[in-house]
Amino acid sequence: MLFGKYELTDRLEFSIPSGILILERIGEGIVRIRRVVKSVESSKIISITPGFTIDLKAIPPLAGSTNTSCLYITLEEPILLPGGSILEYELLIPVDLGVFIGNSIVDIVPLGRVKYALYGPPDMGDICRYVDSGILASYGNYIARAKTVFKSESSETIEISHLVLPSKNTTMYSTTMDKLYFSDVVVRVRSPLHVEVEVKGESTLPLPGLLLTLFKGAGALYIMKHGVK
Amino acid sequence: MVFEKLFTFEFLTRIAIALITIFVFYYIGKIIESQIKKSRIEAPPEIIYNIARVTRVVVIVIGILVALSILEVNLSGILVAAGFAGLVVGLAAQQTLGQLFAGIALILEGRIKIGDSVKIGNDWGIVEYVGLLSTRIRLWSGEVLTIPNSNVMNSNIYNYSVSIARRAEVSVGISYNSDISKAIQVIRRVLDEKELVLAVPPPTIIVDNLGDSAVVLKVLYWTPSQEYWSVRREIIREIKEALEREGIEIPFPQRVLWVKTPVKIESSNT
Repeated sequence: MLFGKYELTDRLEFSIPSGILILERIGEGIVRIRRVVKSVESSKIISITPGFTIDLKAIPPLAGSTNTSCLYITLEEPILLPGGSILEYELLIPVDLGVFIGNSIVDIVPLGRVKYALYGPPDMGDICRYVDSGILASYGNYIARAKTVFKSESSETIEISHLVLPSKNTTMYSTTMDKLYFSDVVVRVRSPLHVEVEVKGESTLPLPGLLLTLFKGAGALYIMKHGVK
Repeated sequence: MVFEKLFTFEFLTRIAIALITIFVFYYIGKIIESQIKKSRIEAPPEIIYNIARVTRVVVIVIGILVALSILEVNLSGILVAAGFAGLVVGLAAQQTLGQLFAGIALILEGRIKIGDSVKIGNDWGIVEYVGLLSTRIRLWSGEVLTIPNSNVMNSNIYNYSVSIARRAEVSVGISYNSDISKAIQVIRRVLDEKELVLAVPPPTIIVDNLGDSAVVLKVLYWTPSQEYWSVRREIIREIKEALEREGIEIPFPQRVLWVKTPVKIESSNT
């Protein structure tokens, strides 16, 4: 895993599943961040205060050319949730790379393929980062696990084939065993057209060898009003 | 005698005070207008702009009324006259009033806002100003077009900024000798690899027409509205390149001629 603090003396090169990430010092307090994805290069120049280290952190999927704040996950198999039942599940969330200098984030690099999905009608819905098994495969080991609890507050059985969760204000953890964890997710199913997806600020999973909290958020809520099937 | 009475010092003083009053109210109106425009009210700019203008007009009218009262003009008589004048002006300026009410309806309804990408009738551009009488759009060619609000209300308005995503259609012709399933597979791969082609709703590729020279495939996909044109441009180029790489022919119009009786072709060398 490439997460951690780095002192940039001259040049750092990282191999990431989507390509190569290069950080190079080009002058006093000036750093160039270069990305080469599918032989297409993009770069940006940032100014840093002398003495600062560059911190590479796992962050929720926020990278890409469109600014999003939600994650549309197509479940590998639909879940049938009988009325009043509770189900525990493990969601897999792709991880992006946040380049931090001090406490400020200066770049977000996707570690795999980026695709988007429209949730809801085009005039009232949201464009979210899209996740399915094909997308997850492109992320290699950079996948976080999230303890997810489905709570049915409906009297009928509801089929869930996709979930939309907030991607901002969430928390990401890393362990010494090079495993990544995402904050807990609670899915309250009130009806097929009202499902509340809450991402908590923390994870309650037993995290063996918890190394550090990579990215701390206060938690967030997304209400799915356009169906879950 | 009348002139002497009219131009007494007292009366001239009143005229001066009345003019100063109008002048002061005019400036107060302007200041209020600019303050409203600069305010941080959470409302669309076209609403703020029009409220500011109406407020200025109201303040100036109050100033004129105060000035008239300073001149000891009987305001009730003027108001009655203004009522009749309003009736006459209303009849004479039907078109202008129609535009004014269309403007009010347009602003209240919020069909278009400043900065929206719109197509009004046949004119396509970005809304720069929504006034009480007219709407200004900057066409994609750079010209500024002013349309009376009554015309805006009577036209079909396409507002492309309301939707966050748009569906695009691209037609691709392949030769009758080409493998349709393979062509669909190649096009699907191009769409899958494109970041800004939405995964949901999924792209659709259908055989749309058996044309004169080609089997026409219709490619339908969704993309974020603001990226519509750039994605479409890239998709068309990448589909052509991918089909060429895979040896799938994109034919040009051609005609097969069947000659009923054999034609003898003589060589000029013999």
